[in-house]
Amino acid sequence: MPIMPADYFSTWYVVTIDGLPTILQSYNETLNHAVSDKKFVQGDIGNHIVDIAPTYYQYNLNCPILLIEPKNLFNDTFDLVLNFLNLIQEPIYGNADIDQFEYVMQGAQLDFSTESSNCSSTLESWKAFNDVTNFKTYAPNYDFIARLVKFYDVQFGMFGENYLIQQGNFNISILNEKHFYVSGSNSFIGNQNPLYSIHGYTVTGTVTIVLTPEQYEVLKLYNAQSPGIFSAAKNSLFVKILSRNANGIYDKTINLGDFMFLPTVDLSISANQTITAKVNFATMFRRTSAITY
Amino acid sequence: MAIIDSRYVGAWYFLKTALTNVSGTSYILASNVTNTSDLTTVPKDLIQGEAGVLVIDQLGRKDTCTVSGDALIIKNSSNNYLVDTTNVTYKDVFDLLIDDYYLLLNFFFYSVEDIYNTNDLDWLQYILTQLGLTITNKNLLTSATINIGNNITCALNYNCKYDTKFTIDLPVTNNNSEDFIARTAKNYDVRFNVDGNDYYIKSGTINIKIGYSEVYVANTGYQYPFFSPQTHSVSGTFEIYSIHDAYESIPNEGNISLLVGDRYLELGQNSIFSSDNKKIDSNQSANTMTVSFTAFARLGAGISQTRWAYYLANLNPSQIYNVYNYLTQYLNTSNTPELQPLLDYARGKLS
Repeated sequence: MPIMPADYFSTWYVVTIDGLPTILQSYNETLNHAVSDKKFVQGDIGNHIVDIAPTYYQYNLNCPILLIEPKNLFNDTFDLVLNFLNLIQEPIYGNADIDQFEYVMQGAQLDFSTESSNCSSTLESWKAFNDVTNFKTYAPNYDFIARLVKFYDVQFGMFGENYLIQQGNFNISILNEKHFYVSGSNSFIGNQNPLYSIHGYTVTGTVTIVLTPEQYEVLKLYNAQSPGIFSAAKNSLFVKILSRNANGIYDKTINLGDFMFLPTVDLSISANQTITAKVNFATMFRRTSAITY
Repeated sequence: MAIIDSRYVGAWYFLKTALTNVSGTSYILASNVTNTSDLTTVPKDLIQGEAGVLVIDQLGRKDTCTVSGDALIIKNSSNNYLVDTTNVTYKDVFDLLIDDYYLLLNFFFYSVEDIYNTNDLDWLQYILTQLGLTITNKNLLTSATINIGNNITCALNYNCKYDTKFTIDLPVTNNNSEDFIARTAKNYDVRFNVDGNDYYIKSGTINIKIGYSEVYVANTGYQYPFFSPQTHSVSGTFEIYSIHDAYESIPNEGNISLLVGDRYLELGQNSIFSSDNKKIDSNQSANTMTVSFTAFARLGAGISQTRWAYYLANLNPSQIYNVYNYLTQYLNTSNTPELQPLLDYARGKLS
């Protein structure tokens, strides 16, 4: 019976992003290079002329959030998200800053529940992540162990300590636009890759809270506005992944600021189940909302 | 089920034309050709016994033709890709613009020179004819608009009827030897040099206008006017990605030129930037600034060694020798330093 060589199996490989090997559950890379037919008065109804759209790569990364030992040897998707958010919270200018970017994150989805936690992200880049290292040769310097982050590793700072949180989903959107420029000079030429302009970032999400009817009544008053007064309940909004070992504390925190607003609150009362409220929230995530990791 | 005849389908046609200094069959690749025949007729009220229209006044007849399409990067036999095994040259609308615009610039230039060198007209005429620089009705470009962005589109307007510009042919059945492939020219194929600064240009528009006098004369028995090219001008706008410092550093003059692939369109020097529109808008992902310009469209703009190389490219050695010979005699008697590069280039080709 023939045996398929290890080269064909994904688990033997590691993708390197931002110079650090990244542990992923799935990795999907798409080269976008659209070509469409262009009709001219051309003597034929066949395809002679094509319009070739600009080139960029799109990546979908997915991985459970991990506690990896030793620390800082590998990234997971959550580390990538923290790293990118941290970069774009400061103004980007000058070659030194711009050279730190090898991709533009389009968005990320963080899912926390009592069963599991997961982070997926979509990236775009002007180059392929060609540094996919084959680890079939034993590399003891890259030896690691890890476990999945569970509910007891997660701390939500949403409404103080007053509510029990069953589940949380965070949608991170990076507002950006691709620009296609014409060279206005003889000293440089254009290329097929677009210029990316990052012009904003937002976090919205949903949390499912286990609560009493009395607590729900309080929740309804959250951010209620009075004429002429801007009411904004101040709380420290964050998600912290506890990550510690004998050598120290390596907790990872997305600080979403200190104000959030609740576009919808959905109360659910069913027999033989806990009372829950599904709260959609929009945060005032901004430059002072520090990312730590 | 009936199928519409292929003659009703635009893509089946060839726009066959004779190009400047290109021998053999030439096809222009355009996406749209529009012809307008205008015979303005107005009723004339006379003391005529009733209120109806009994007398009409017909003005002269005029045809205008518009040709538009994307600039292309074409692979054909002329640039070593043997897609086409025949001697057919494929050109796009941008080629057409370059040909006709420079023909008209040469017409302006040498018309002026001839006033002072009437004795040398035969020599000059021979040189121009050899170089394919004689204009006819089909070259009467009235305006051109070039839109520069992710794609580069050109729209050309002519004072001529479409069938003087092109022979519109259906392909011969089962003739599969004529062939080409191309892609649309994109932003990265273009350099839009607006004053030598290193701009990232988001978009731009260039407008070229040629002014004509329409002359209706008797004794011709001809309903159409004679057209006399009189003026030419270049203007346009460009939108740049700008940081705030750029707002104060836009100069008042510079050079305007456009390079698409390997084709160069010089549009004049020392242009005046007539206005700019600065914008900081938080709803835009990047700040932009729009600058309008009006160029000094001068006679010398199209007379360069680059152009001579283009004109001389397809001449045989005998023709080049004749051009060289006549040019030498012409330059001995005329003050036309602009033609010296042509002489030098012809000498180089002969050696």
